[in-house]
Amino acid sequence: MIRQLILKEIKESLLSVRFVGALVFTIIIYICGSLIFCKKYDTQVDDYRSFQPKDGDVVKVAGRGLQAIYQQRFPVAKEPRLSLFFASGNETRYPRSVEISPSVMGRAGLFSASDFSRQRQNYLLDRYQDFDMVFIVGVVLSFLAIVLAFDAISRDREQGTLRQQLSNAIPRARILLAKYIAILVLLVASVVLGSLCSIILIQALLGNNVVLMFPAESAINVVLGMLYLSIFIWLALWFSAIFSKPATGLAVMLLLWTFIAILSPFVGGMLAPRFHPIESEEDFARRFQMAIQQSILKLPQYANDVMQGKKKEEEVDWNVVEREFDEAGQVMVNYYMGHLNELFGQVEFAESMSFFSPYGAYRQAVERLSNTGLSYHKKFIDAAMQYRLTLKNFIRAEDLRDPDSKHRMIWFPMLTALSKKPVDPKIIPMFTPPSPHVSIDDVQASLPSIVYLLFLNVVFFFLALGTFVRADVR
Amino acid sequence: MIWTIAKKEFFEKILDFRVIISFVIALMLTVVVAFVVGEDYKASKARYDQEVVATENEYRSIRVFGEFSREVIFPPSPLSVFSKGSGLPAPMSVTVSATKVPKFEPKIAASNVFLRIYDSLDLVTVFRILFALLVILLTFDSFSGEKESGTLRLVMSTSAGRLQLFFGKVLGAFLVVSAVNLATYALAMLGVQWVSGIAFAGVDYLRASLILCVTVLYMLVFASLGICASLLFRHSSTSLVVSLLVWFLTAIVQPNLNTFLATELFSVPRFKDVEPALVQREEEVDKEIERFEKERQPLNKTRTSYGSDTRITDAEYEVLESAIEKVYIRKKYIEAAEEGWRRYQQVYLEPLRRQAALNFILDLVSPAAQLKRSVPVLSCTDVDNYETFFEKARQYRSQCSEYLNRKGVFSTNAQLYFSRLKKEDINAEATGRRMELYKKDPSTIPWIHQQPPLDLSDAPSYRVTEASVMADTSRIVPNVGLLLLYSVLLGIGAIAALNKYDVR
Repeated sequence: MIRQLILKEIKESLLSVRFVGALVFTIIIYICGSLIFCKKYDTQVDDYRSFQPKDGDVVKVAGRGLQAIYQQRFPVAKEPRLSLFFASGNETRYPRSVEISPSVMGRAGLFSASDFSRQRQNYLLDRYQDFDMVFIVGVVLSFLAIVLAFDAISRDREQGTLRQQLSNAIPRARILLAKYIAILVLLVASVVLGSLCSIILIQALLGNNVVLMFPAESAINVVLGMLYLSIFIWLALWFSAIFSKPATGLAVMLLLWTFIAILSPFVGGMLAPRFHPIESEEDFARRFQMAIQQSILKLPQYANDVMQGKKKEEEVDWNVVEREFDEAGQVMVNYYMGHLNELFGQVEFAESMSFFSPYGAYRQAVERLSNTGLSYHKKFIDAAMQYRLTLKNFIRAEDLRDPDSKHRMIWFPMLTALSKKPVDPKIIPMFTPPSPHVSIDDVQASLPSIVYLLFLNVVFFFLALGTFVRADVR
Repeated sequence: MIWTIAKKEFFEKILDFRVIISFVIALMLTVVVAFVVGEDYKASKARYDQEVVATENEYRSIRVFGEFSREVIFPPSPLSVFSKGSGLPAPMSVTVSATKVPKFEPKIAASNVFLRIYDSLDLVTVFRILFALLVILLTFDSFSGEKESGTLRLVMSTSAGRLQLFFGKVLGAFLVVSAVNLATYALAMLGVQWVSGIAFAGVDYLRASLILCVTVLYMLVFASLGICASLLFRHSSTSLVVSLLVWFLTAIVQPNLNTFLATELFSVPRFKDVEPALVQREEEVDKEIERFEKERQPLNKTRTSYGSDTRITDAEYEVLESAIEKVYIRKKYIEAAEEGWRRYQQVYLEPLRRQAALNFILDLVSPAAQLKRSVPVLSCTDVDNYETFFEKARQYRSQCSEYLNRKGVFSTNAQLYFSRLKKEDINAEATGRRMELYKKDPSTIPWIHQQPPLDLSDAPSYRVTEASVMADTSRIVPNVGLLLLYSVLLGIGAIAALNKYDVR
């Protein structure tokens, strides 16, 4: 019986102008989103390639020996990833590159002056939202879900067909479930068609198949999208059961949707500075500068004497000097990393404020499961720090092979004394960016969002059921 | 008759339950947003006041002309409650000095750079999205609803003509929209004043009134859309869905899409690709200085190079030679800065402006974009305001350069760039010990720091000038004109549909 009800609902909607319009609109939005993504991806690849150190530059540095490599700044950048199609993760707003240096301890050896994500920014234009899958599903499709479902019950009640249906021995719960499944099937069909268009377009323009490259992420995104849209279907059914006039139900539903999908993303950014205040960048810069000066003051006096020419090099125990410089440097690294963690903490607080909106929870889940956003940025910073250590270890190991070197790896330029013999550029370690694929940790981190979306589905299901069961169908 | 119909429409809508609920929710959100943005403004103003005092103290402690520079600061606008505009930070300070041309540069952010992923909310965003939706919910069933309930036939059986009915409904919608706007704006301004303690000046109220008018005009576009849709479609639900689709496209999708298309259809060069051209002159100056130092002939000790034949002493010679060298270098860097600025405009700024112009053209078909462009102008938070500020800073720099030239620090009194001493004083103080100090750097002469700060009362002063309301109003005339045009076009469409409308 329920199958017949579902088929009936689907047939009715398939022939309606509303569904055809929604389907066409969905496909257009997917196509626009894909075209936009392909263009941006091309630009990102172009920028990324131009950002990489040229072979000639690497050869030049390697030719000057390990001391030059130790004092060199190495640019590392996030690779453009196709998984950004699922959730751009505000990639254009986070820094996409840093410069690391094995020697410099200020700012933990991370520099952001050359961040290539800002290279093409136009301060004369407003910022814009990316048309990624999160936007398409989270805003556009949720809107269409409401448009398809807002009068599922109230229309039948108005027309009198609901009374006829209920005069048969069909439980109300089944009718409700049939309507829900029918609308879900229609939405899934729209999403599948739209996604197919996107995959074909991306394959044609970029030569890569997103689904084949990211099968797990693709499957997870489809399921999450359905889970999210399902909330709006239940919400629409609930309001349709409450309000006898479809228009009134739609009006209230839309107000709610505007809060959930459009205005809720602003909430985190508004509340975080108030409820989770942190030190300003200027205050931190001042405090950091004082810490650097104090560290330098504490540097061993004999090192100062050597720098000022008062003592000979042979009179100094350089192992002790190196150790003390390392300790002072580590203090500064801890300072900077502490501040960076504070910044991240404030963003995580903002995310938690937005979490209570279904859109916020959905976006966070997709970003985690597509490996984009803040979680990927943190992995990138960790990888950059790790690369710095790898370079240091490489320099130390290679330097020991040169008997003419004084083997002094001290971050103060005047005291550094490493091998100046040319190094084969091919053996210099390269930066390995973090994997773009989702890991177990990412899945675990996204579980609260998924559970919350499931919870909302259950709550709104019971609300819709409870309201419909007691509704007056006359 | 029109007025009677309008009154009826007004009271019907205002007392409609869904309108009351929607309005109350929207009002609460407006008050919250106004409070939050008001607090932001208060914090910005406090920072601005501190920076003004600090820069003034720094300016007043200048002891030699070589230190002559000044931070000028762009103040935050109290009307940023209505629109955060360009999103550029305020207060924003820029250094005016001889060797640097003031222009926009990103500085260390006062707040968390990672939090920029969250867009900021202001009143114009709430109006652009939420209130436009409310207006559609008010008007989508103006005709179709009455037709469905059967009252339209009754109304048409009276002496009221179709056009009278139409204009009555439009006027009624206009009155509702105006009342809603006025109430919301008044509450927002009161809330901001009372809770955040922001004091609005008389001109701020005038600007707020103009913002109110523009917002009413914007909402009138959607009222016209709702009425037009209710005439084109038989069922209220259909007219609502169609109106909502149009609202969704124009208020949410289109503004984002336009900006994206502008950035992608006309891409700008990477800054690092144009940077070599910008610093090319500076690098040439560096090479010129190197050549100058290698090739320069020492001053003839019996003659000055200042156009007189006065004999100079060894001490004076040492100081003046150093001063000539350093001033020569400084003048070269000033020229390089100006050349760099010319190239910055040609090579970097020009593409950015063309991209912005393309965005402007794409925005012509978006009512939401017209609101987004006009309110920041009236709130003094748009990009052009910042550009005007930088232009004034550059003019101030020119005045300061003329002032320094008049003082002769680049010519006859070059030593004043680094020293407080007149030429005759240098000779008198030229003992053996002090000679060593002069040779190293004239600006390290000990007694400079015992001197009081320079008297700069004859120096040009920088004043913060308020933007003219008339000038800003004339800037938004095209945007307002477009909003009126959209309303008129939709109105014409509605009238055409009304003439053929079957009221049965």
